[in-house]
Amino acid sequence: MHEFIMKLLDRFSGMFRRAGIDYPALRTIVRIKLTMDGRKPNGVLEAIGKSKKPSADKPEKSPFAVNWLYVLMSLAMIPFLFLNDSLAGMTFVFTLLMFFQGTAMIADFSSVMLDTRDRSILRTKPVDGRTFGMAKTVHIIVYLFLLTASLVALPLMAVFVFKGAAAGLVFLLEIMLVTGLDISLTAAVYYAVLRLWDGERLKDMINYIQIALAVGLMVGYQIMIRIFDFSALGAGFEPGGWWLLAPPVWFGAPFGLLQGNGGISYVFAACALLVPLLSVLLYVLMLPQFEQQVQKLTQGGGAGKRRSAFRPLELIGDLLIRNPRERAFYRFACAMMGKEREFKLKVYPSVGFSMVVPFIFMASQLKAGLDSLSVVWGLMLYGTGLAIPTLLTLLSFSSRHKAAWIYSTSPMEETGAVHRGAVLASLIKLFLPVFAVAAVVFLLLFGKAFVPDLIAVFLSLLLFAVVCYLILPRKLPFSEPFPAGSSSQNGLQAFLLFVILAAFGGIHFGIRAAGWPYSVWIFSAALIGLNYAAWKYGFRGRSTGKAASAK
Amino acid sequence: MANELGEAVIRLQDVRMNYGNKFVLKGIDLEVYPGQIIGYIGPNGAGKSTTVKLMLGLETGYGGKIEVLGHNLSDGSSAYKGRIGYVPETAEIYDTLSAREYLTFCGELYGLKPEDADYKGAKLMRLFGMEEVYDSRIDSYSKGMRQKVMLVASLLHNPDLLFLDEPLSGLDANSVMIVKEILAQLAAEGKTIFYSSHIMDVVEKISSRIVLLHDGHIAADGSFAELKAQGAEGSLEQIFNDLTGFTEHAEIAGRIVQAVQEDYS
Repeated sequence: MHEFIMKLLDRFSGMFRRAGIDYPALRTIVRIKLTMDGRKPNGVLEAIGKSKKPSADKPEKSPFAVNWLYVLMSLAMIPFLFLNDSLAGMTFVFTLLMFFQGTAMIADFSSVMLDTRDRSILRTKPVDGRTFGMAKTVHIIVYLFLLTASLVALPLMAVFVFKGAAAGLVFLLEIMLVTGLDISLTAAVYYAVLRLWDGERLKDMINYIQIALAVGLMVGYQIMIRIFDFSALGAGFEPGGWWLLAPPVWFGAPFGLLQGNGGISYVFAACALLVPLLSVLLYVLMLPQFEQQVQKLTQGGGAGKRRSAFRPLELIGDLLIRNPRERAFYRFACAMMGKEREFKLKVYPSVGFSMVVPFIFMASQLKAGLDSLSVVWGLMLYGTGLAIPTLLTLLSFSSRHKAAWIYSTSPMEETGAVHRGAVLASLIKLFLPVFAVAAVVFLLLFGKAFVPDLIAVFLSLLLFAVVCYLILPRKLPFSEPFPAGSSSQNGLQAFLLFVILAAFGGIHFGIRAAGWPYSVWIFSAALIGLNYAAWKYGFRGRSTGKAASAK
Repeated sequence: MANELGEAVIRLQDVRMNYGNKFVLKGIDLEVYPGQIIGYIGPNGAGKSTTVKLMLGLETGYGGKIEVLGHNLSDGSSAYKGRIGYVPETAEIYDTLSAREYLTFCGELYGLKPEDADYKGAKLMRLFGMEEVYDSRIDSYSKGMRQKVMLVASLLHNPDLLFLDEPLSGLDANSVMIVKEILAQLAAEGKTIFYSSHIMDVVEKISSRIVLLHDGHIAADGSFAELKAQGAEGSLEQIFNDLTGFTEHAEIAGRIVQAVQEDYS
């Protein structure tokens, strides 16, 4: 692939030379950039645990392995192509295309477009500014071409085959236009963020978009195949004037024209042509200013945010924990989980995913209608507990794992406090919000009658967390490097914990079914006692010697 | 002394630079001749790296005149950079590449053939005792190993002028001796070395000429012996403190020690 691109580029060497570009230098830069692209871990793939760390010493690896994921994603567009109403169908297709392209670009752009090392490495060499700029542009074009090609290859084929050559050509042209629009929009987002804030904020934003993309992929896929009914879509889709604000409609409109629509569709189609061209023009004109803002990325954060006086999380910790050293670890774990980008990228998506697990279990029931839903189905809320083993496993990883020397050099008699503080922090900071959202939805679905069960579920899951801690290997928090690929969890343990979680649900179900008065309340009271004992004694008996050898 | 040394390699005339309201360089005049090892020193924020970045064309918008290797920088061409080697302070490097790939790449940008750049890179790395890791990714290297790669990258194309910013950082004592000796021998061959550092002992020993930048001006210029003769005394460190008007180090240290020992219980 690599070589193919370089050969293709060589075809244009004459053109570059005539434009006064130092072609050998351009070729060298583009080639090395593509090599580096092939080695960088892919954010999105990494988040869903599929990516293998590019191996250190293998000379060449296909730089484009990631693109299979995009091909897979593009399958989501296919069904919309077959809606009777072309305008509506193609609008959905372009919505998806813009979403995929935009998120991928924002997530990858920092390495493709904003490599701040370029300045001190490339500009100090005898390479003139024009060649440098052109090399950058060529690199972006190659990157976008590969990204877009894998995203649209299948849909484009489908359009040509099923809708005819005219529609196919229109689609092809529009793909180029939409790509142009997406570049300018992405650059505009970056420019705005960099202008208003600093590089650190931009890196945070890129991080959140990667997380959103990963969650969107996992959740969207599950929901789509279970709940979505494609055939009902698009019926009676009549664009009014205010649709002018939604760019995908512009790109859908020409297909409406092919089908014989008229009127306002002409305005939309004109937008589809003119707006991208204007935005690309603007982008080219603004490029120098953009480059200047990019330098901010190297400068790091400014003053940093002052911590606000009201910190509810720390209050909860202070309330529950008396040992000062344990409090320290609780706060430390909270800060690490909130700040470390790689940790967030790995953990947030899987924790967020657990929020929808109960709804996936109930999907068939939900489709059948809410009226037939009995409160027993509320026990599906146990599904959110699947997040806990993942969370506790990932808790021991960090991209700065070497800093864990701090555990061994500080005076600590036993590591139980470290573990309990960190486990509690992970539950409160990451699991609780997710559980709360699911719980609110469940309360809306089942009403007041669900309250006792909700309390019991929550207490069971707290107990389950201690069980997980006891079964999973006990490593100090943030003390190991992230493993490559998805090998972070032991399959057998995961299964065992799943069975235990199901058992919790089963006991709860049995107690409900027995039908004694106040049975659920009594169950909850028993759980409170068990929790007290488990949290008090479950973390004991870890000597420092063990901790030192574990590291 | 200018004429006996030949054409100036660097000529700065009343160079001024400001970022917004912040005046970093307030009129720098400096001529550097072949074979000199310039120790360019000054407090943090004095404008040292700005000066180097200007001469490399990384920053523009300066006032005054800058000539490097007989070439006036205002015309914007960058061919003169082919005779310059540069080691930046922060080891900025494409660290997903192996040393072989990175060095070949750098050599190619300087117009070497890839085979030649690779051959020379391998040879230099071997001399630095790093042949085993030549094909490993740079992000697996230690700090000192990275620094050696940076040094090799700056020397591959046999430059006439070297800009080095803390080139010894992270190197072990033996490597430091090698690099110091390399600099001395290169200077004897007529190469010019522009060396900035905060380690005064090293600057004192290796520089044939010391230029002290303070508050956007050149506060002192001459060999170590000449600086001493101008009335300053003691080590270069003391001269540095004198000339930058910093006398309260003992007092600040005292306050820090006091704060360390405060007891809050």
